[in-house]
Amino acid sequence: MTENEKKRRKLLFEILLFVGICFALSLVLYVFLVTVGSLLIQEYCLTNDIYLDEFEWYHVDNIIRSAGFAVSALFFMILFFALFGERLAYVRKITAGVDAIRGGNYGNQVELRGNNELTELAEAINYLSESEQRIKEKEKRLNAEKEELIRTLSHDIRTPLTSIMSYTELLCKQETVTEAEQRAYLALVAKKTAQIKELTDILLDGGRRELEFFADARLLFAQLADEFESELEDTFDLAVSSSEVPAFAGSFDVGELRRIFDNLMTNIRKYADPAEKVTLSVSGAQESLVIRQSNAVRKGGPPAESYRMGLNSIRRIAQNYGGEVVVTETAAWFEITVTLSDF
Amino acid sequence: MLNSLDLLIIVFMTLAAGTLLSLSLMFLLRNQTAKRVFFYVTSAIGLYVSAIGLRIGIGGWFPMQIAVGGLTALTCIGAIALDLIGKNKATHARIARLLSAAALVIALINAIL
Repeated sequence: MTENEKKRRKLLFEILLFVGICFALSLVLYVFLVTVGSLLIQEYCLTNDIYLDEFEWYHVDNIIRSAGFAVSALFFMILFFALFGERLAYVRKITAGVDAIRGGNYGNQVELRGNNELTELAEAINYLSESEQRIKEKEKRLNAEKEELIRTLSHDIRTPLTSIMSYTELLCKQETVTEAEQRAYLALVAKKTAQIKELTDILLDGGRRELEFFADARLLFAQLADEFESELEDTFDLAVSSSEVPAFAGSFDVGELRRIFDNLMTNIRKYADPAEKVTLSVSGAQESLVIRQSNAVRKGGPPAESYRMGLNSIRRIAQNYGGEVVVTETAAWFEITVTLSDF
Repeated sequence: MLNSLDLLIIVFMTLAAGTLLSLSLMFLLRNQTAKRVFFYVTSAIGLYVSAIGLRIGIGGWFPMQIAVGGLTALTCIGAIALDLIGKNKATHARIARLLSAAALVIALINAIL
């Protein structure tokens, strides 16, 4: 029991107190009216030479007492109902607060007055209102996050899907495709299909991560950098460097890392100027891993919505690793630095 | 038909009950607006009772009663002015209420006794 609860007065006690105050004041008024009223009558009779015998005095005294009692009783009722009415008005305020919550207006607060059970009730309603508001806000935030996840994953699914479409189109159109080329294309299609499956699995699991421990994660990043190079070397002049990474151990979700590189590749394909050099460097610095990619921007390049979504997707993944994404861009130049710290 | 004694008793009882009621409500209610309303009611009754005291004093030429009646009337006006100047300041309002209550009680005693 808190100190406040110990000190809390009972509503019944307050009502009894009102009755007591009203009764005491009514009694004072009655005594005052009867005493001063009698004195006034005596004074009036003396001034106007009116003589009243004992019976007449008894009669006048009775009238004064009755009038005094009636006035005091009326006074008691008015005062009591005025004081009690204030409490009733507070009950109405509390009811309005409950109605507001019922109507979905959770920010509404009932003003705290006094220190009795009604105050406690108002506090409980305010607490309920605040809790409901917090829950609603949390629900809204979670829904927004879920929507964002669905949006970014849907965007990321498009990257391998586009590759599959390109390879299958190539297989359909080209009449002279060697068996080795066919196998290579089909292997790529299979790889991209697996990637789509991974992404849809994440989507179905609500963004669950599958972390794998790598005793030497440097090899993983070297492989990703190699894949990046082999995917883009036919179209772009690349400068890829991953040798600056020292040997280190860590837990990573390979799918997530692949999505970072896929998004970088998609952006390069869409917006990078093929005439200029495209650079990618993976390096280690102060217990964090830094992926830096830069390129010259093709005329009529960003911004496009999918470009932003790709960056958002990278940002989300970096946040999963306690990292951050810094983008420096001008009309002619683009540079992105992805830092991963918590692995 | 009511005679002057009946009227005197009715006026006295109404004034006494009204005075105590407005004083009680002015101090016991929690609602600030209601408090303010009863402050003005108290001040108005105070001015009225002071005027009665002054009239009685002038009629019978009782200098003390005239002085007290005048002082209570001025106190009531001062209390209203203080409340208006003080706007929403709690201390000003409290002092104004106390001044008005004291003036009313003294004015009532001055007029009746």
